[in-house]
Amino acid sequence: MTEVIVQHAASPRARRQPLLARRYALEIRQQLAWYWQALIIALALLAGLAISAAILVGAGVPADELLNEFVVLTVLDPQNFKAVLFQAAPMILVGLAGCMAFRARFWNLGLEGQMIWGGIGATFISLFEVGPEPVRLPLMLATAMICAMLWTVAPVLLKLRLRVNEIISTLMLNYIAANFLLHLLYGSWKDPRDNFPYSPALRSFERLPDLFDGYNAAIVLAIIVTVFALWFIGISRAGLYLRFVDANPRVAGAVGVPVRKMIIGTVLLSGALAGIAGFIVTAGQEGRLTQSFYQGYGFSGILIAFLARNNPLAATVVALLVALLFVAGRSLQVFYQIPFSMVQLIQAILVICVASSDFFIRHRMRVIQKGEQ
Amino acid sequence: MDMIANWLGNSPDFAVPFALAALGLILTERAGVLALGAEGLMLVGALAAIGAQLSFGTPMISLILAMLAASVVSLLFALMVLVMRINQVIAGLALVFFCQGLTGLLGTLLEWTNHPVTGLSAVALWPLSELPLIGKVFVQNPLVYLTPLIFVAVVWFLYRSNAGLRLRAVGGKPTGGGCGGDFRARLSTGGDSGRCRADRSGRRLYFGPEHQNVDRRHDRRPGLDRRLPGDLRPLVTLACPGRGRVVRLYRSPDPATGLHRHPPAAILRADDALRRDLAGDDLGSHRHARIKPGLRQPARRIGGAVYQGGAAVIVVCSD
Repeated sequence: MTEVIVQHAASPRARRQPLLARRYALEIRQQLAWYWQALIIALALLAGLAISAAILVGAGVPADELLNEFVVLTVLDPQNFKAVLFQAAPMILVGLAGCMAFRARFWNLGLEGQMIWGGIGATFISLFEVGPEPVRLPLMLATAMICAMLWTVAPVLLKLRLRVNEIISTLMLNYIAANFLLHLLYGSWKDPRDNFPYSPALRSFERLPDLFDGYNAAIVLAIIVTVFALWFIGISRAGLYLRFVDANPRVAGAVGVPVRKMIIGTVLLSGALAGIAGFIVTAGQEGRLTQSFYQGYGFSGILIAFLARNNPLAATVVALLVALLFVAGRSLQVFYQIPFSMVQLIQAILVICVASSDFFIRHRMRVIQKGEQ
Repeated sequence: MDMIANWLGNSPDFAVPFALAALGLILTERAGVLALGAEGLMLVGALAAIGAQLSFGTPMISLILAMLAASVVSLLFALMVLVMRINQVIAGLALVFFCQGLTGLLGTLLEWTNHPVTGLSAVALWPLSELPLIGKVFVQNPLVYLTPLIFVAVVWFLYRSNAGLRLRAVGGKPTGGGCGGDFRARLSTGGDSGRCRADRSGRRLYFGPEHQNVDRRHDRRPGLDRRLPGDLRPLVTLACPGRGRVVRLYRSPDPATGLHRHPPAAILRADDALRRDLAGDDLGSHRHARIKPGLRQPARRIGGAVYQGGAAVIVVCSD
C-alpha cells in the first residue's frame, strides 16, 4: 500500500498535495504474492498481540511475566501442556465444524446448540445405561453425533427449501437447545445425590480415559477427526465438489455437482463434529452434563474457522493457540485476579486485527492526482 | 385481579429494552448491515451507565453516557464492516466477544460490580394512573414513556426524511447482510459527482426526491472520460468490491432534445460490466427494482425505466 503512494509521490510530474486535500482511490488487488500476505497477517497478529499485552499490563500483570505466563508455563511445563491439549480438543472440533459448514457457504452459528445436543445425547446413553460397558463410550459418541446432526437438519432444510436465513435460524436454535438443557438439568436429569442442577456424574468407564503418559483420549480423538477432515476436504470427491459449491453454487449446479446434497451433507457433518465437541466436554472435562459446559465454544469455533480460512489443519493450530490462551487466562485469573473475560477480549482483538489485515491484502490505496478523476 | 394488574404494570418495563434493541437493529438492518453485536453494545451501555451512576448519581447523565459509550463501540463495528470490509457475521461476533471481555474486565477492575444504585424513578401519569386494573401501566420510568416517541421519531426519520431515504436506499439489497456493507462504500466518484446527490448503493442509483438538486456542474466540465463517444459523461463511478470491478454509470443527452435532463428523465448508460450485473438473476428478481429485459435494446433508447416501491428510480439505457 505505502509502496504505491511513494511511487506516485516520487514521479516527476506528480506534485504532492496537502494531506487533507488528498483523495484516495481504493483499488482491488487481483493477486498478492503469498509472502506479502503472510507478512501482512503477521504484522496484524503482532499488532493484536501488542494491544493485548498492553491491556494485560494495564490490568496489572507485570510486563516481564507475560512471556512466562503465556509461553513458558503453558507450553514448556508438561503438566500445563497436557491441560492445553485437553482444552484444545473440543476447540479443534468446533473449529473443524465451523470450517465444514462455512465451506458449504452455510453460516452455522448454531455450534453451541449442536454441542448441547451432543452432550445430551451422550448423557442419555449413560443415564439409561444403554449397551454393555465396553461399548458404552463409543455408543455415547455415536449418539452425541446423531443428536447434534439432527439439530442441524431443520435450519439446513429451511434454508434450502424456504430460503430461511440460516444465520438467524441456527442462532435462535441455540437458545432453544440451551433452555431445553436447563429444563433437563433442573428437572428429570438433576443429580439425585446432591440435588444440584447437573446430571449424575458419569461412571469411570463412561469417561474419556487417559491413554498414555497422562495424555487424554480427547486429543487423540481430535487428531483423528482432523485427519478425517483433511481427507474429506483435500482428497475425497466430496471435498472437490465442495470447492465448486463454495466458489459458486449456481455454476456448480450447472456443471452437475449435487449442490443440495453437498450442502446438506456438509452441514450435517458440521453438526456431528460439534456434537463430538459436546461429547468431549461432557465425557472428558466435566464428567457430567452441566449447565454451561458449552459456553463460549460456539463462537470460538466460528472465529477459529474464520482465522484458519476454513482450512482444517490451520484450524487445529489456531484452536491449539486459543486453548493456550484459555489455560493462560485461567492461571492469570488465579494469580492476578484478572477476570476470565480477558480471554474473550484478547480473542476478539486478535480476530479484529487479523480480519482487518484482509483489507490490505485485498485492496490497495492510491492517491488520486489533481485533475485525475 | 391483582396479579393481572401487576403483570400489566411490569410488562412495559421488561419490554422497553427489547424494543429499543430491536429498533437499533432495524436501523442497521435497513442500512444493509447485519448486526449481530447488539448484545455487546447493550453490555457496554450497561457498564457505562452503572459506572456513571456510581460516580455521578444522576440518571440523565448515566443515560447519555451509556448512549455515547455504545455509540463509540458501534463506530468500531462500522469501521470493521464498512471501512475494513470484514465479514459482517465475523465482525458482529467479534464485537460481542470484545464487549463481553471489555465490560467484564473493566467492571471487575473498577469494582463496579455488585453495587446497588437507585436508577430512574417511576413517574405516574396522574389521571390515567388512577384507573382500575390498568392504572399501573401508567406508573413507569420516563424511558418507558419515551420509547413510543422514539419509535415515532425513527419511523419519521426512515420514511419522511431525506436521510432516511438514503439509508433505505443504501440498504436496499435484498440479501441484506451479504454484501450491503460492501456495496455502499463510496469509493471513487466520477467527475464532480461528489455533488451528485444520488445515493450510491452499489449496483443501483437511487434518485430520491432530492434529485431536483442534482448539481449539473459536472455536465459543463470538459469531457472527463474521453474513452467514450459523444458527450457521455460519467455520472458516478461505483466500485463493487464484491464483484471485484469498477463500473460506471453514464449520463447521455436526451435523444429527443439533445439536452441533459435531470433524473429520472436522464439516461444512464451502463457499461458492460454493470449491464451484466443488472441483468443478473440476482437483481432481476429483486422486488424493489426489477430490471426488465430491454437492456440490450438498440442504441439510444431507454432500456428500462424502473420505479417500484419507495422513491427509487433507476434508469438504464443501453448504447
